[in-house]
Amino acid sequence: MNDSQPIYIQIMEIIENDIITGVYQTDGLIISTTQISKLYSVNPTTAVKAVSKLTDAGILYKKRGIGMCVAGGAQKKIKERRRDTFLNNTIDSLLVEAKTLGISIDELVNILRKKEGMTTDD
Amino acid sequence: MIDFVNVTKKYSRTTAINRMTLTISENGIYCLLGKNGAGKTTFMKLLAGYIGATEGKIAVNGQSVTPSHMPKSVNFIESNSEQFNMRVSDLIESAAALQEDFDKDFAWEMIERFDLKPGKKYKQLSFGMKTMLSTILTLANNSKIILLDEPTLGFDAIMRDQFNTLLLESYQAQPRIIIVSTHMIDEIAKITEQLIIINNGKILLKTGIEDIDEHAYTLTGPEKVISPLIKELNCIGKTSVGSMMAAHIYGDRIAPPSGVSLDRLTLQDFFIQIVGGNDHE
Amino acid sequence: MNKSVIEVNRLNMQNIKIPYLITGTIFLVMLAQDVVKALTAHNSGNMVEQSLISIGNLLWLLIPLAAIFVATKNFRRLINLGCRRGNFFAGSLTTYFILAVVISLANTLIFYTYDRFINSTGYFYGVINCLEVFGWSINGPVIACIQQFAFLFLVATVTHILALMQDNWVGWVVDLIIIAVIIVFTPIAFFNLIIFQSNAFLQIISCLTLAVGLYALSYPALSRKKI
Repeated sequence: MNDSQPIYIQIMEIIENDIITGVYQTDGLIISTTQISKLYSVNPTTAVKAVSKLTDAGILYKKRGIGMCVAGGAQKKIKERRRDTFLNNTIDSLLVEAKTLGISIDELVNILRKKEGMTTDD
Repeated sequence: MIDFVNVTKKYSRTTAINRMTLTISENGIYCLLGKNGAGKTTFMKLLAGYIGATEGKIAVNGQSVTPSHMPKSVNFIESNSEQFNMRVSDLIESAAALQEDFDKDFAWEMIERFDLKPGKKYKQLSFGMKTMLSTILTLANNSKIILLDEPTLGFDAIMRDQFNTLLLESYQAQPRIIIVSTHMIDEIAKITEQLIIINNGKILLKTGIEDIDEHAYTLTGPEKVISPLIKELNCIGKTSVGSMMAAHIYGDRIAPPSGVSLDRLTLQDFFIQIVGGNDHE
Repeated sequence: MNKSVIEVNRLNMQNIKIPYLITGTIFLVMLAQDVVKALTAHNSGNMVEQSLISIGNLLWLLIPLAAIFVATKNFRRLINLGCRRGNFFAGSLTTYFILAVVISLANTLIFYTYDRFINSTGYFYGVINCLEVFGWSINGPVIACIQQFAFLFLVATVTHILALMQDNWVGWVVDLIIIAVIIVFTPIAFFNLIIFQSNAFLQIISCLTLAVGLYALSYPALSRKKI
């Protein structure tokens, strides 16, 4: 848990991460809000808020008497949204910071290529 | 359903509750916060019919509440309450006989869980155990409104944690209105749903706990950047150290400009700021 | 008689230990004194130049003591166990009923046995027992017992009411002043009615009516007592 974002948003991200990395399958059951609150030591109400926001966004749905499940197309939705955030917010911040530090675009591209090479070697 | 309409409670030298108006209609665990002397215990005593209001009306489920008409659906225990010097087991049996709707099974479960020796007499218990017993005697009732005044006095950290679990379980088994007044703010923050802050005998704030999670934060940065920034925001407190300033905000989050960090405000710090930190009133 | 009222009574009876202790101690001490004095008189051949207060009469002390304890200590502790005010009132009344019956029987028994016996030894000038002084023994043991019960029940309820109305020690002082004033200024007719009444039936009825009546009248004020 970090200090800069509301807790419910952080819980949402944790659940979304687990969805896009395949921990949860479509129509699969996710952990209950009670388990969330115990595991991350957060207020159950906050856990409930995170889950209900995800439900509103169409990422989760409620199966009566069973629990919250991953909605169809959830992975796609999450990836698209995060792609947007990455391409806009994250990249923009990166460019601003690079400028502040005096790193040129070419330098940046070279570094990116180099790092990519390193990761593919893993 | 609890209704306070313009309630005032005056004692000879002080006004403990000052034209307080409040409605509580939803089930939930409510955390009652306030400085010492703010009026928390007086509020609970008025609600339970232990004392009478000087002015105004108090009603529970539509029925008027006065000392001569104590509300049946309210169960209250004040901190430091005295019990008969009987064995723990006998006190449970007596409570079961005296109270309607007493859940003996739940009481015994809690006695075991907290390692209270049934054979021990009340005066032989430690201070924390006495508090725990009094709390169990009140919580083990299925009444619709439970008021707990400082139920964790004298508890060590383990007991406090266990108590939180107990409270949550009791609530989940029996959803109702549970109002808890406590000074262990960040611990109760983990289980409470609703927050009520009393200050100077009035309700300063009544909101959901997720509201604080989302809307209470601190902006830290150079004073000359922060000052203009917070003009449009609801700043509840400021601290300055040299050229840096930390402004505590209660309102919608903003995207902090560069050089300014945004951090969540814990419930305890939020409370300290809103009832009067260093800078105001 | 719901279980809450029964429980209040049971807890009351079990938790007036200090009144029991005080009454019991005084009883035993006086009994011991009686025996000592009797032995002294026996040995010296001289009669004791005093009248004794009947030890049975001393048992009366339990009534006001119990009422004070119930109204002060037990009230709070019962509330903390979740007792409702109404059940407290009903349960306490039951306690006083039982105590009045028991003390009444005990004193009557002592009057007709122990006191008679003491008198017959000739060691003492006399034994004073209210049963006789108030003129109840004339009506025979059974009636006298009932008269005594009615009077003690009245004393219990009045003490209870006065004690319960107190929020602090100033109130106690005021109470004592009130009692003193009442005793001094009340027309003797009143006392004739509740104590010295020659018509036993009237005495019993007036005591009981007064007890219940005062309890009922003070209920609105008492039920508003802050905790």
